[in-house]
Amino acid sequence: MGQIIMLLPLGVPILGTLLITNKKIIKDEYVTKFVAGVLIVNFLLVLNALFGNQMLQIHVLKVNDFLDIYFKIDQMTRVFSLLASVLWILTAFYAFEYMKHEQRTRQFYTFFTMTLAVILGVAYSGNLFTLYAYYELLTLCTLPLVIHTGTEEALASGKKYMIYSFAGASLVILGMMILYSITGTMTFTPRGIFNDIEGYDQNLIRFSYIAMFLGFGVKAALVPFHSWLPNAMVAPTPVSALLHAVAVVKSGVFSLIRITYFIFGASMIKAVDVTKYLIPFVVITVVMGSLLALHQDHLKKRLAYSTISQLGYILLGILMLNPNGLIGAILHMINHAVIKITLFFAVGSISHMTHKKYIHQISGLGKKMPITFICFTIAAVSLVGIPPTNGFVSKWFLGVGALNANNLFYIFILLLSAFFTAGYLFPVSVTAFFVNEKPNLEVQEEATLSDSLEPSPFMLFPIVILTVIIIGLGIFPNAVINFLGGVVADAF
Amino acid sequence: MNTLVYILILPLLGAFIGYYIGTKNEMKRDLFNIVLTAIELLLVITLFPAINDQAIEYMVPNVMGTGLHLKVDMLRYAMLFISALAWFLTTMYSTQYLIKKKNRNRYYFFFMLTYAMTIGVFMSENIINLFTFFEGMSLTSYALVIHDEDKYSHEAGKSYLAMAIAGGLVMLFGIFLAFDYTGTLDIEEMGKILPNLGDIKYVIALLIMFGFMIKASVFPLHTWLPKAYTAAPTPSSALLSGILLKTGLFGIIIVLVEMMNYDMPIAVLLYCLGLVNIFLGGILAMMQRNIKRIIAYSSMSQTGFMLMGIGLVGILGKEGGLALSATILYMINHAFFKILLFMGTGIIYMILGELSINKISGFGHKKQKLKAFFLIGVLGLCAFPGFNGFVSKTLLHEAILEAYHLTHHHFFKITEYFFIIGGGLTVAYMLKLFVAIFMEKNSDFYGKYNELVHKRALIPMGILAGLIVFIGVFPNAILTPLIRYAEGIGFDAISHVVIYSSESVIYSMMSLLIGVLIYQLFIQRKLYVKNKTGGAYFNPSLGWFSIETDLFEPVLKMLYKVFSFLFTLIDNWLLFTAKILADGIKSISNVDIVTSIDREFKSVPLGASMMLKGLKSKKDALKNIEAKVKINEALELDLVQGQTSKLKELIVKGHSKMTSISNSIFLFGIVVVFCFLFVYVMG
Repeated sequence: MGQIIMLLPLGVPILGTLLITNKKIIKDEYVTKFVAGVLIVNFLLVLNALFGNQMLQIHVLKVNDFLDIYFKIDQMTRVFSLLASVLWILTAFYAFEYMKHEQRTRQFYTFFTMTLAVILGVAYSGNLFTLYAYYELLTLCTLPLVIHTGTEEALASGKKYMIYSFAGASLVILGMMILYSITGTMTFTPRGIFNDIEGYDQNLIRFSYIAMFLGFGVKAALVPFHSWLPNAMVAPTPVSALLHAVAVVKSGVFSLIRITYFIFGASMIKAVDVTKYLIPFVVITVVMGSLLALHQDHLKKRLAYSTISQLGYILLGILMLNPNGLIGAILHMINHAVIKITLFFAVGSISHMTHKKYIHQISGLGKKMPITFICFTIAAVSLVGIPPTNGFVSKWFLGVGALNANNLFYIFILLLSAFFTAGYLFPVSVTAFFVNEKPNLEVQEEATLSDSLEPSPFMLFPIVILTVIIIGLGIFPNAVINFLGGVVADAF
Repeated sequence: MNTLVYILILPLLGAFIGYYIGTKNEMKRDLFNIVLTAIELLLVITLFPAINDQAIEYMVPNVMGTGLHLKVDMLRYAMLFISALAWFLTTMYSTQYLIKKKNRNRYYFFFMLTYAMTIGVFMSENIINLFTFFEGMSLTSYALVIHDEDKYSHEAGKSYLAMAIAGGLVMLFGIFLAFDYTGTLDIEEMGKILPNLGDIKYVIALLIMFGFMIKASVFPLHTWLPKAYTAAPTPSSALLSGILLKTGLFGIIIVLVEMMNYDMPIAVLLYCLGLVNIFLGGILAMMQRNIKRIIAYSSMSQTGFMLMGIGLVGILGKEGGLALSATILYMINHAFFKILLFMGTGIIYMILGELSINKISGFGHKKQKLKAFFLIGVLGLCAFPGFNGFVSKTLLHEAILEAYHLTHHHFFKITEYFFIIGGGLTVAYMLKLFVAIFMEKNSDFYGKYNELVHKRALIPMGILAGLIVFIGVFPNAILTPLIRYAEGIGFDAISHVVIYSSESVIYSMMSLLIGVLIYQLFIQRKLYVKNKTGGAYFNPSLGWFSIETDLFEPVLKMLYKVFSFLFTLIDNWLLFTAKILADGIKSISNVDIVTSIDREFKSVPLGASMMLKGLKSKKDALKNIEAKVKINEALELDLVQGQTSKLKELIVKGHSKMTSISNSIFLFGIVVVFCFLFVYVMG
């Protein structure tokens, strides 16, 4: 019984999906309510599965050691699944309003709900094979969301997304095959599945790790496999927000944490000395993302490049191979998700209310949508890493991790990129609040201009909640940090 | 809860409450702000007896992970006091100054937020707290700098914000290092470990100081200062110069005295930078025509004096108690007269909307109160005996002589002369300003605008003028606690200093004389051009080499362009290679097969022949379809028409699928080839 309850979060959204597709069972006007219901029930189930006393693992289908669908709940699972389900609910509320005037909403909600199940599957996976299966599924069920608008541009982006993802997946398979041939097991084990460091072919291990890192790196937007991400911005904003702040990119990061600390293990990776091949990719990712973000005038593209850079931070934290670095990486995984989703929501509100998508169009908007832009600004400050916001906390741990790894260069990179971050985010707020297009407005005109353009509460509420989380986690980070201490204890 | 926490929280809450009140009623908001700052000032004053005995500390656990560690000793108290006083007076002044400006509510909101952050900077004992408040202060004061929202203020704001953030990040780098080496974030604890480290301690100290140096406008990081001070509304300029500048100097003192335990090389560096600042600021101030710019560059020059003082603390080591008290006193005094002077210029700007010295000359000729207050400020700044500037400059001079006696190094003898000449520069540019505005006669302004000089703007000036004279006459009232503090934190006992001696007055007179000479011989002759209608000052420094526009900007722009180019290449190279390879393979496959198929299957029905052409690119295929359809239309119309349309659809569909699948196959192939190459190389 306990096992079934544990598996419910993986099944409930799928069941919901099946019901949504049927127009007779769920009528058009009830779709959103039904989706909200499913997501909230699922959130409660996740909570129950995570903190209840059920059995923590289950083999669903075991053909042999390789083909083994196996779920297991550990601390990493808790972090990721909780993050996903909370943000999913907030995004759903935002989407209800945002998608009102879009077409094919039923299709949208179908895949939206289904993706949650897949993401939770990624989180619950107990071995590499299961993870891989869900990882592939993720590509398939997010593709319809990316091409939702159905324009030529969207279709082209979708194609690109698919090609990149499958190319990455093929690299992962390559790595998996080599790994399986060496070890004969792929179950996630704290501190790695290698019992002793010696006695393995180091070159093969090295190769397998690099192949998997680059493969999963595609979803984590590792340069040079990143260019699907800015293109995928043609999707509706809730999708961009969720998929490119949480679901897709973070599942890539999550998988990387899994293979690094639960398959290979920090000590093995140190022994084969493989990070030196990967660090250049990551460093270029960090700097390139933020530098190119400076070039973008399109708000969502700017945020997309920013995501690339911030994901680079996380990957850097993973590759530091020390506890502080890993805490920094996981913390930034959480914090970046919260921050980036806030930024996307704010940008989405702007385009939803005013159809403005470029920075040069938004001057003076801050006076008309003050709450949206205040939240945007706070999130921007946090992404730069200025205290007292959560972005600073994760940057602090990344910095300390870099020092523990005896590498000042990492800190330099982090801070340089933070400076660029300020360079591409602050002008948005400044343009909105302080740039006055027409300084000599007549009094009457000013009165009409001051009409509020603030989005409806459904859209505003998630933004405000997320902003409160940003500041709350910045001022009182200890609870999360202590929890992550437990996660990291598994890995070292 | 503790008084310290109240002092910190009060302006923070006040900012939000004030904003809310302001949306309803502006008069009430102004009153609220004045009362709030008054209460804050009273709270700070009531703290004095406790501080006078010993430092107070207070810890709020868990905030920001490390806890909020507050501490107030006499140095911090002095800074707190001038902040509280300055904010009280400028709030009162602002209510008058801002009447014509827009967005008043926003202004007061950020005004009070900056207040809270500044208080935080001066009270933090934990370096992360300090950093937090320091960054917060930079961000909130940005809104004050660009309040006018015109092109000029945005340019100034950009410069201000960029430098503040860059400074903050460099500082964070230093904090990381410091934490890594000492394992603590408490400034006092750090001070126990840091001085014993090797050369790395210099790296740490310089990195941390970098951010403070920007705020204190230390050469060559001063470029934002003249722009920002000029662009900001005058009450904000007053605070920027009077208080925010001091946060930078305060930080430098903290690093040198509390963290590095008076380290010699850094002290010498600061001492020299101080000299550069005095001269660069002084000379540039002489050249300016905009009165706010004159005062802005004057701040830079005065920073130089204070930096020299800080440097002397480090150079003298245990004997540096006098230098420390002199520097703190200098900081207090500078706040008083600089705020007073800015307020004076603000009144002029409020009435005329003009700041150029050529256009407003003679404005203050008959405005006695304004003239008197302004004169007191000028005399204070010029260190005229009987005013507060004299006290601090005399003490500083004393400290330089002490350094000379201690080391017998001629360097200090020479710098003593520089010090006096620097004082002369101050006199020169203030004379230029004062003579032009208050001594010249200009019938345009005669008897006009008197009614526009409001009391609420003059009262704060009067209070400051009174304080300037008070400190000048009774220096010991403020010096005694400072000296006690210096002795309390481990400096040697300080022998009693006589401030008013014949020697000190002579030195002061020497500076005055030099100043008058510079004014007569240089400013009047070289910078003043006479013409038929009268005369005008011109500014030769406009064409000079500017560190910001001639050095920082081109270098940064070039770097930016180079890196942008490189990264754009990286951004696209995978796509390029994939596309080139795919195109290449496609064209190879097109060459033979298609033509042979064409020949062989000429007679087969149209649909089939086209299906076989599937390897051709989509465009070609579509063209061919059209062409073929046209040619064969007449012959085979009846036969194949039904099939053709269906098949056409199918083919076109299949075609697009083919390309995407073949693309992915190619990509996969490339990846695999690379992998094997990699294995080969590694193996």
